Amino acid sequence: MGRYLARRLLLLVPTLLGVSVIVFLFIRLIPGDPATAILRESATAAQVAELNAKLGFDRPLPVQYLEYMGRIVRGDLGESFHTRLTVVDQLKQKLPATMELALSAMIIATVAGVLLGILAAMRRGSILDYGTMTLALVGVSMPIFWLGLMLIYAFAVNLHWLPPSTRGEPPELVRTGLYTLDYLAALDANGFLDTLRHLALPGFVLATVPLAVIARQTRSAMLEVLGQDFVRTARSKGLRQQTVIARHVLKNAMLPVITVVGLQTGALLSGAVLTETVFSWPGMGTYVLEAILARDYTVVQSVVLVFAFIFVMVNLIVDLSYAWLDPRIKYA
Amino acid sequence: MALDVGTDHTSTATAGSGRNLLQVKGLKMHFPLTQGIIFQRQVGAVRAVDGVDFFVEKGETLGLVGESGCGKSTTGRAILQLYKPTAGEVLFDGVDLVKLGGEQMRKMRRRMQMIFQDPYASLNPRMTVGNIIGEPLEVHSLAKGKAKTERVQELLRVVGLNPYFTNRYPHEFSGGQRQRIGIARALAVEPDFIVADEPISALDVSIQAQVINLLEELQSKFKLTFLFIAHDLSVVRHISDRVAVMYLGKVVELADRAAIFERPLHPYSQALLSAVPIPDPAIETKRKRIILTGDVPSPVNPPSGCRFHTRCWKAQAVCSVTDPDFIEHEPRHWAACHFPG
Repeated sequence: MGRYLARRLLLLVPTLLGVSVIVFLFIRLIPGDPATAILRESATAAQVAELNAKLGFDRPLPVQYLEYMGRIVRGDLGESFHTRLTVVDQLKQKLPATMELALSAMIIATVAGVLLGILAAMRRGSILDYGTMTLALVGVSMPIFWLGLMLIYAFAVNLHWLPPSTRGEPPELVRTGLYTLDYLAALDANGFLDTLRHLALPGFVLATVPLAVIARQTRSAMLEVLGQDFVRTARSKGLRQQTVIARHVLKNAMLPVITVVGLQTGALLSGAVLTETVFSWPGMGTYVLEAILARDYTVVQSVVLVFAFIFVMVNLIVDLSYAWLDPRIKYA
Repeated sequence: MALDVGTDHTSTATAGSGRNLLQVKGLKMHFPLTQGIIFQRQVGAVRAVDGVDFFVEKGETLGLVGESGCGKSTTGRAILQLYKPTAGEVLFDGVDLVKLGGEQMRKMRRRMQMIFQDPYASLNPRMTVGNIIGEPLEVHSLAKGKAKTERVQELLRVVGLNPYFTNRYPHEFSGGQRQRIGIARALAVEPDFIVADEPISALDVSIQAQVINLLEELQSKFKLTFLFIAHDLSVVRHISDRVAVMYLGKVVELADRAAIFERPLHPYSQALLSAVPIPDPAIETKRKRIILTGDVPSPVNPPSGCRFHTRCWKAQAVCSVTDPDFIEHEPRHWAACHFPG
């Protein structure tokens, strides 16, 4: 187990190196450059070239890349040439916002998705089954920015039930950066509820795709396990139906579901960019979008690197959870 | 009324003696066939078991034989209510299991257990052997905690496994060992009746004999009653007191072992028995074999009259019209044939 973990962590290095090269090149392939973004269209070619030279973007690409990587290995994620704010400081603020949104979405998606999947599998062929699976198809197919706008229109603009955007008032004392936890720690019920109200719409919107995927995966995994011989064995022991489902079927059906939960958590990062933009959520999504629009090369590179790191770590956790769920899997 | 089987006439005919532990009357198990993607409608039924009558006496082993797909396993599962039978009665110690509610049946399971065919698929891969065997003890409140652990270890010893295997998982065992785990699991609740559904057909030949001997040993030790489902006739001959022969969802002959193997009355039984090779080249070459022609008809649309008439060399006009009654032709020897012998 220890050796396996070490090997996996070591593999992180080439993965992140690859990601860094690709992002570094791709951001420079997009038309436009930092100087044009700052000086707007009216600037002359000479002005643009001068500013780019001042910012160091006229040097050969390998030099720029090596210089950037040199800072990365020293733990310096660089700074925005635009705002002069360091990426590390910005991440300290924005990462918790995105974490809170993503965690809420994942909790909604996993709990609701697994429950719906179980119900659909147990009532296979019923209205409930077809209804759930149709909704799941709609959920997967729906563009989430559009769904976000529609929900804002319905629940915020028309009904005034929920706030349309932002995270709400920050707590007086920001410890974790997750407002829900900070309000809980401060025993502030009003602040906590207000945070939840702000989380509700973006959390649900971000949850739709993973929820649908998890529900479908749970249903099919359950159906597969329900058809296995050992489920009949369990029934013949004289177990109640709930016990058969909980103890024998679910535990065996969870492996593919966990895989999907992991993959969806990664996919959530891209969903977060859209959702945060629609809901003006001050997280990594809006941060990286602004950086892309401003051709803020360093910020984009570093944020994508952080995204890649999170994605790889989530996958590692998923792989490790297999060994815990299935005694037949051993890592050495 | 000759077309209607499973009537009172036939079921009383197979009532046997008063020592019956199990009596099956007119048992039918039909699986619906549906068509359509969203709105499914029933277009027919697979008549896997279609009117079966037999009884099992206390302490005996009844062998249930027949070719693949004739409904042997379905019969076993329908008896234990692992399927809800379409029709018929399953009297266990006088109680009709078909009429029992979920909770009553759940309690009844303590007295009847099943040994499954596939020792690989029938054990939950995520559970330790201790939990697999111990779970029924817990469900039926027979033992818990330390007593449960001790009982599990004792059961492992009984089936010839190391009692310290409790914390291992099924995948760490061989097929024969897994089948022993399945047997220990079935024995855990001290049942009276065990349905053994081809318990050895998935095992190596070298292991088969061991498991058969173990089952016999356990039977005499715990006074068990067995319904032994198999298609291997030599095994059935070895282990059974009486034998029931099934063809296409029906029992066509039921008799004591000696009677069935020496004087089979039903042409299907005769053909089936003639297929058993005899380990003596001199007899084997001279032996007359009855080769049946044609395939087993579909249980969705079984032949009219006697189901065997499409492949029977004795068939006459009456056979395709009238389904023969299941009649006691000799004492304790039933057969459903218009021209027995």
